[in-house]
Amino acid sequence: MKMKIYYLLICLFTGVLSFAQQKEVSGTVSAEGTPLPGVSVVEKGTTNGTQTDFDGNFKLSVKENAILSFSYIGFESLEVSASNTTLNITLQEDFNELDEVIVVGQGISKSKKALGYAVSTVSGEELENKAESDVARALQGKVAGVQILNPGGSTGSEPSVRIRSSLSLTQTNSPLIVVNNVPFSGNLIDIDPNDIAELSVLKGLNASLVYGSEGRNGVILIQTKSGSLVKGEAKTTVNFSQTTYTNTVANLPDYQNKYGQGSDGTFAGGNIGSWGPSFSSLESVPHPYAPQGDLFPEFSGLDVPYQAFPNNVRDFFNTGIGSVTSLNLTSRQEKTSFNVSAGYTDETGIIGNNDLRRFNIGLGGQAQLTEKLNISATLNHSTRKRNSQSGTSIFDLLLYIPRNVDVLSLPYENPQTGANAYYRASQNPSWLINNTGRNDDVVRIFGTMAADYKFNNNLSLTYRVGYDSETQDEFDFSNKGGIDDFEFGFLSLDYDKQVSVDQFLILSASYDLGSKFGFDSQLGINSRYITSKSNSSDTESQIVFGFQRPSNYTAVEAGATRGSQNLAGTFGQFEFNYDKFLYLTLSGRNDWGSTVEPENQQLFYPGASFSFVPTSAFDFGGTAINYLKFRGAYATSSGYPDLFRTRSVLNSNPQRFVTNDGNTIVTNGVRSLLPNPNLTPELHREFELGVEGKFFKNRVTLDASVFKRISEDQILRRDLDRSTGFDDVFTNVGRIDTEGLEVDLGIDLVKTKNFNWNFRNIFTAYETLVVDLGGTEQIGLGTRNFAIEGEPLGVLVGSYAMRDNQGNFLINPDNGELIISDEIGLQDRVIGDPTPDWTVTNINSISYKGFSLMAQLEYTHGGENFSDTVEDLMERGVTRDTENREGSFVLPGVYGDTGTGLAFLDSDGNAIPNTIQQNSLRTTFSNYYNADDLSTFDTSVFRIREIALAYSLNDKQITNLPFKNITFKLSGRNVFYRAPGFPEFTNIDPEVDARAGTTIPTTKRYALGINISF
Amino acid sequence: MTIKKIVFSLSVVISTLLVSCEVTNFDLQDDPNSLTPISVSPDFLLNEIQIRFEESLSELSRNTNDVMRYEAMSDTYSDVAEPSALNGEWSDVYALRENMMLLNELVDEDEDLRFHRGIAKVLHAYSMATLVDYLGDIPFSEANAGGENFDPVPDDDAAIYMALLDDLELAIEDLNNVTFVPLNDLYFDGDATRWIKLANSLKLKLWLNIGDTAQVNALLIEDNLIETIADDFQFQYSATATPADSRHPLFGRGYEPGGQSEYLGNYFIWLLKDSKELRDPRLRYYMYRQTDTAPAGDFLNCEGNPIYDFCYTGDFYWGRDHGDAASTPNDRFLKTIYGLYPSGGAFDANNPVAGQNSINLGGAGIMPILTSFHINFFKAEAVLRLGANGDAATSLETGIRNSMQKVMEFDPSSAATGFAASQEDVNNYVVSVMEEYAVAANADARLNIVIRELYLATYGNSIESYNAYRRTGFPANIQIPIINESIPFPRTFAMPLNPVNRNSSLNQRPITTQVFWDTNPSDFIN
Repeated sequence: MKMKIYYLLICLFTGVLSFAQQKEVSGTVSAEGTPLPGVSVVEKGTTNGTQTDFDGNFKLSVKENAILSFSYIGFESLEVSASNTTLNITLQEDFNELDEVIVVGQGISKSKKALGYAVSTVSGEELENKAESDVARALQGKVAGVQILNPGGSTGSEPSVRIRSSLSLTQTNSPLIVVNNVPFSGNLIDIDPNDIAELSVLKGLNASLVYGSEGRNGVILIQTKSGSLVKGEAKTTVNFSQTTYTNTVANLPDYQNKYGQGSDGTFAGGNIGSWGPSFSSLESVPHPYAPQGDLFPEFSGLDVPYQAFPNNVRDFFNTGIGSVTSLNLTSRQEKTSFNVSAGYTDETGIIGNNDLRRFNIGLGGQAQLTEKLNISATLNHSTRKRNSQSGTSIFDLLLYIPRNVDVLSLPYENPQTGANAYYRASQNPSWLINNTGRNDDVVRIFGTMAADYKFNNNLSLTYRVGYDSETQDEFDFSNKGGIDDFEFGFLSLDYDKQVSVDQFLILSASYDLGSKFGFDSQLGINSRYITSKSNSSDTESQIVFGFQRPSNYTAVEAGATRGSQNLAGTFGQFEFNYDKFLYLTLSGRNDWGSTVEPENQQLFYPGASFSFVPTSAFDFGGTAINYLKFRGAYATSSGYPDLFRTRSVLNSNPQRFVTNDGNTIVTNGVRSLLPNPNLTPELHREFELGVEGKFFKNRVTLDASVFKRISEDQILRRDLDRSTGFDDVFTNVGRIDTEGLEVDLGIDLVKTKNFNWNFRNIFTAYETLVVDLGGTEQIGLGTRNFAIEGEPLGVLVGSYAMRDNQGNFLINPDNGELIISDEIGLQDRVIGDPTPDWTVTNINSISYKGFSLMAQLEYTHGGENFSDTVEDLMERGVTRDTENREGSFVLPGVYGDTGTGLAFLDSDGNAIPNTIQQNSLRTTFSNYYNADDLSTFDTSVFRIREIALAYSLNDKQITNLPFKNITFKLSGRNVFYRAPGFPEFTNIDPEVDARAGTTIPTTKRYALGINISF
Repeated sequence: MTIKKIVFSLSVVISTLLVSCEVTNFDLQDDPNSLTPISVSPDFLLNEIQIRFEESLSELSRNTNDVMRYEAMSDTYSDVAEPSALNGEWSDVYALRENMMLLNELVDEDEDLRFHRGIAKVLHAYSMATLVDYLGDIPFSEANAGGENFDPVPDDDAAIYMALLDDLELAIEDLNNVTFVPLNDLYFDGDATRWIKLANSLKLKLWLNIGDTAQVNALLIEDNLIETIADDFQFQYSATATPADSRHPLFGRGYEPGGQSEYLGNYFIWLLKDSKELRDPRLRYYMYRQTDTAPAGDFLNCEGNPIYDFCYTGDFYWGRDHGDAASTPNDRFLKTIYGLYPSGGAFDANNPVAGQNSINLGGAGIMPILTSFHINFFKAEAVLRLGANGDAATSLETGIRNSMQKVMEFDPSSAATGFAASQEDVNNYVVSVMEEYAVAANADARLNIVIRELYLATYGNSIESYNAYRRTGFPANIQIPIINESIPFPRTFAMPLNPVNRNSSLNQRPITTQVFWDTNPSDFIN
């Protein structure tokens, strides 16, 4: 009824107007001499208006003595009397802040001014057309406080993402991914980077409150193109993009090519190390397979020239090719909109039999059913298939094969049986590539549905449900005939399915209380129910070589697990503002979680935040300070443990042993994990302070935050001394504090009509300290990483070279070698802190007319890592670091007592310098790097993460183009890095050397992309 | 569709999802994927204890093979006895104990399970005492308290011995009152009398370590010990590789595609082959030669180097000296590997091929844990060292003969005619040793012969030679490391790394620390 009256009034009004006397006004609107298209021109006090065209021209019929109002986003509005029929208007840029509105989770939009916490936003364009199939890698370095930990260069591997470091020692530290306002259980690699409209990162606990404990590690909010539809003027756009890239190995060492296989300068054909004679000193040596004359008669007794094969490692790597194709169609009408997007990704890796294929299709639509009710829905389907080798043992020996062994030219299979063949009784990497494999096939269906009902301008109710179903099929196999794990062959089939149903019901209220006070609130209920199941079969002992089905393996084991987890919460968030420059928000959430015993299931956690915007409160005048905001937040959050950790269970092994008479022995035993019925959720608290500002006509932007997190009742998987009866227990112990600083500083170095240069710096520093471990000295977190009271989290513990008070090495007077702590019965100690001191990313964006150039430079300072790879490379003598090896070496140091670990003193009380000569093999291979602290290196690294050059043309520049815009883009990723803390020629990339053991080297990528929109 | 219909259908969907019973069910703590303690079977629990026992003992023994020169030590003593060495053994022993405690709870409710408890107590005492032999003070009275105590304090090693000896009395009482035979008895096939003999023999072994003559005499008078091969306490492996690798752990060293990386010790080879006028009849059972060519060139870099005592002992026995840390050539399919006894490998009938291609037992070997030859050598030692009752010479001869017989009868069908040891070879060997014994100058020299013969016989169980070496310092002519002689012999092993890192009551200490019964001087052995 109201509607009808409104239309009636408009009709009457326009009817009145048509009787008044009219005149035609025309003119041009410009700013700094450039015509402004799209400026709104309205006759004041009426709805009569128009917009300027592409050349800034307008024409409008108005009544006599009308006032015309010109407004354009980012410019100061101007009112001009229509005294002349021709008006040339110049608009001034407005440097005062716009009231930017952003989505802060659960589909709630808020004025940026009101936020008491940090939110970073990355636009879809920053992620598009990359030489990356993975959103996470494309994000690397782009957001302050966000770390992407790369697991290596294997195609399709999934990096882990950390926001503001790690909160928990044992619970997941991965942020919550929210797609189209609904939590998403998948990994970022399931999302097509070209389908992202916008990505926001909520870093703090206050920001993620509405997501409850699931959001404690930060939230990555993704709006896909299908999920970010707007209604309005009928319009259809089509966007097509295609990126093709090459993928090559980036970090191989610089090998020496002077010395070959052997030790102590003597050739030894079966050796792993390259400490043999120089190539110039020996004519020929037996063929590597000469001792295996029974298998390879062609090599029996054969001598081959003794020579280096400089590329024997490099040749092992391929150049992979990747291609990402995306198509996106959006159509909108006045009350409905619709989107369909499809993407196909195909990437081959740098080693054989490693590839990724992914297909995504997404549909989205929304409809304004009535004035009050809007519904929207999305449906995404993705399939991801990946092939790789089984395990990473392929790299155990590959990086340091002897310099004279041309591994690729050697047969890798026993010609009769197909079993592994190599120059020694080790695994031939080619055999692994060709005889083992792991195939993953992941299918995901992700659907969301939302209904918004607006009671009136103040109250609305939203219901949102998401259904996320992932099925993962894994086929992991080995033929028989390999070494160790691969000796008998195996086939493991795994089928896993996880379904989550996530529901939210939110009542939002927004009121103006008088002229200066405002009130805004959300009350909500949230339920998340996750069920998972897995079925598996493990078979061993292949019967016929080369065929992989369970029927071709003799030993069979099968497994099945089922689990359900239920999380529920109610939450409220109340925002008060005074005159839109002072905001106070109070919030609270109550969670229930099913993974602990009933008395511990419920947890309430409150929060509060403020925001103060001086530029809105006072007039600063001038153009130096355009926007300034101070903010602060305090929040708490919870973390529930994983399933089934509170009650006793037993292990059962139906096939523990087979006796000589063929009886299979069944065993039942106490599980090594001690159950803990008193387990409670973790409690995290965070204080955050921040400042945001825009200065000097908005040419300088700043967004900085400091935070401190206190995480108590940590759920630790505490390693136990087995003399307690158990190996480990999940327990609430202690406290971990994290302090951090995040700064995002952007500067428009040059800003002219045609040439712009933006210089953006993203700085992140944090430290996580173990404050209390409840009386335990230390808790193991991995092979070498520990939580130790008073030390940074995750410090490396290991053996160390003994030194005297002056820091000189202690040398064993018997052999001239270092004395190492564990050899004289001393306990290991802290030898390094793997967390970098700080990282900075510098993104330069330069544009000139249609060209744009982007360069992303990164520097990480500090941090240490124990490197098995360096130890191996040095000990095997393959890199140029160990090329200078002739003669003898005296380790600098003083003699020490191998019994006490103290320096020997001469009769005058002075230390006695070492003078014992040793050869290079003894010092390098057998001694120096055995001290863990000497195999630990500073992980500072400088990197050119990305360089991209784009050229774009639109239909306004070339009128005959059959499309609106076309962009060409050339880019390179990981084009250069240098880590000066590592031995010079090892070329270690600390990013993938972050874990003990050898990992797949990183890759360097070059891409050519094209993007067309119609 | 009218608005009412839309609103109605939406409300139905929402209320169904939000209020469905799944969403309100928080009673989800039971793990549906595992057995619960209520459903445990005492038989299967006892199986776990029996297997854990074998694992702990065989791992300890393997970790001592190079210390005791059966294998060539390629490192220093400090590397061999390093903190990471005994993590697994420590875990096995305390896991065994945890399972025993659960079993004890079941027995408390059902007296018919006393046989189970008796076996568990004997195995527990055996493995715990052995861990004490290797480490000295370890947690005991505060151990296995689960969540009650995460940092159990170590007990005095002597006190643990006493507690275990007391426990053995309880075990014997249980074993004297058995009604119900366990489903699987992997050691004595359900024969309680043999378990009692084992319990008594274990007591003898412990009192011998302590050196208590009266207690030893009491056991000798009671005379219910393992006296015959039929009563031997041993673990029988099988040739099954999958689904559960049930093969002798030493078999994996020489008979798999990777070949053997360890070298057998030249001293031990020499002792068998050349130290006496007669070759040891057990030689062809103990070791298998993969080649009939002598090592040379790159394969024998020790040649001419004066620090080596043996370098190469001849007859295609490719071993290495004790402490030889030189890098290894490509000789995994050439070096001498473990033989038919005890690891279930190949009998050496001058038939050299790579181990993996040989005709062998597939790993169906045994671990001789506590056997009649051990008991006889113990008796001889007790007479000579402690002045216990008995005739040392008789015990020595019985010990040798029992060992020989055990080896020869282990799998006679594998021993090729013409190469198998004959009774005559055994007799000649015994005569030669007994002559040597008869002319030995004094009790020490006689004890040296007894321990040397124990050392030769207990191949495959170096726990006993390690303990005997620390008790007596014999064999006297044992090879000392060719380099790094100053690094002391491990009188105990380093405290395992994991427990030290995880239990604040445990501290590392030097490997020169001596177990309570090792009262010999600190520089006693190398």
